[in-house]
Amino acid sequence: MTSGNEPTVRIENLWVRFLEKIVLKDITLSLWPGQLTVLVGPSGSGKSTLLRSINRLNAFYPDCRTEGTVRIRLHDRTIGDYPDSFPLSELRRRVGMVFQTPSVLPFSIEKNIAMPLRVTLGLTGTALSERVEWALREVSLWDEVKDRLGEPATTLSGGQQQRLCLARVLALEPQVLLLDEPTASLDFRAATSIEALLSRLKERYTILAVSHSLSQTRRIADRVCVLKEGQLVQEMAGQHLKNAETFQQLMEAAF
Amino acid sequence: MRKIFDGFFTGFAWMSGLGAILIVILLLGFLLLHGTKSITPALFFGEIPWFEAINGQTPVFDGIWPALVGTIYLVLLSSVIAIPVGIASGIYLTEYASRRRRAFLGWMVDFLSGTPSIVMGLFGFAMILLLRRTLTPKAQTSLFLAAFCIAMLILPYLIRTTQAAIEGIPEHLRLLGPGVGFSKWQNIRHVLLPVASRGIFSGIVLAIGRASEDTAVILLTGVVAHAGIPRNLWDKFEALPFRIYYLAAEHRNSIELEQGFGTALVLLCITGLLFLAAFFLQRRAEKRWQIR
Repeated sequence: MTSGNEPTVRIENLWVRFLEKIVLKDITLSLWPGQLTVLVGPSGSGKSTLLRSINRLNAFYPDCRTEGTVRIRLHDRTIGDYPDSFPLSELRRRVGMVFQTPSVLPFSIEKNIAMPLRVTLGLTGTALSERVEWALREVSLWDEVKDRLGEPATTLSGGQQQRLCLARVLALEPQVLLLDEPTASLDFRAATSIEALLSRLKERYTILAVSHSLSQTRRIADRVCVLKEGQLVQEMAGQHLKNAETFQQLMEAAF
Repeated sequence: MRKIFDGFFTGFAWMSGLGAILIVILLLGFLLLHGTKSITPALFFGEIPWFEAINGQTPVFDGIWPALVGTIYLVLLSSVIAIPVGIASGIYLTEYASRRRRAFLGWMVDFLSGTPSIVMGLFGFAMILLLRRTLTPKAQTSLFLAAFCIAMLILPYLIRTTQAAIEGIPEHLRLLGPGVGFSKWQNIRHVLLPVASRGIFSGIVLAIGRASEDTAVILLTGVVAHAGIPRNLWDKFEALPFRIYYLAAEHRNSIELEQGFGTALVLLCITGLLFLAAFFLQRRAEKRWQIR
């Protein structure tokens, strides 16, 4: 099950409530570096809420209450526990998130990546340009946009926009990537390029992704976790994922 | 039956759209027909040479030049007061206020937007009376007081459009800033305001239009018929809407009435120019945001 010695993220007894509604019930889950874990489950089963509880974006919703432990092992220390005194701003840089719809800002391609670097890390000049170029190369977008960095990011195709969003997150040097259905709004070709990218990135990052496509899940996942009515009802890896028929049967039973 | 309803509502929607366009064309046609002739240097400066009037060498009493300058001062001053406060209030309502406070303040903003402008004028007038009896016995109605009351009048447009523009931002963009580690203010400054800028700008345009046309407020707060160009913020002033009202109500011959129509055309042009200036400022800001 493990690809490293210690998990990067360890979630224990996590409960999340919105007002009186329980959205996540007693979740315990670990994520290891070098492994791509895919969360599947019916709509409303709490997949996005689970993702947001790792980078604490649920705090953005005033009616949300979280109990339990989410420990994240960074290079130099371990942070965790709700509530925690660790600065949210740094936590969220270390745990990057990409959303279902490409969230490009009405800025140039370059500024979409450069602005968060300038605001959060204070990067300027050559250091900033180099980091932007590195991030665009990391998502294989540099060759496509290097001659039009000043053009609006909205002129990019859907797949390019999503890779730009991934580049923005990678530029902040995270250790964990949370991907909330990153290919849901893309066509087949764009989705395939993102899948190839994720397979490459999983070597260096700990990735937790949500997917609605079972075939995609089989293609990219090292491990699959099934969430149903806020509970983790099944985990599968290895042989179960390789055999299409077994996988289908297990998924049907889980859903 | 359903087809009849469909046909009726489609026709009604078309007629309503065409009706609005027709009214604008009729209004403009009417003004152009009656007012174009009177648009001459004399309408603006009377008997005074234009360069002497513009550089302030000779005061103008017979033309609309002081009213034109007064209107521009009034719109700019009230915008300078209302735009920052309106945008900041809209940000507060969407990003900082609790649900209960948002509902209460939202109701107050709606109440303010429903206040008739003459009441706002009376409020300004009453304030001056109070100041005279208490702190400053020499206080009088003035350009600043009128601009302040106009600012109160246009504030709700700015608050509500800012609020609607920010609330209309999709969730994935609202979460983007916090998701990359921005603080609340950094998210507002670097994500929410640029994304909502077009919506906020539409509120500014509405506010400028409202500020330039209102007559009731300024009637009680500082406008007079022959004040000339105001020398400072505490001076009386002239304004185009009041000039139109004065010419229409007190005209002694058809020439003066036509001057009223001409002045109305000038007011429309000035408002249009202010809209254009706001439009170019917004586009420039957007371009700057886009790259830097």
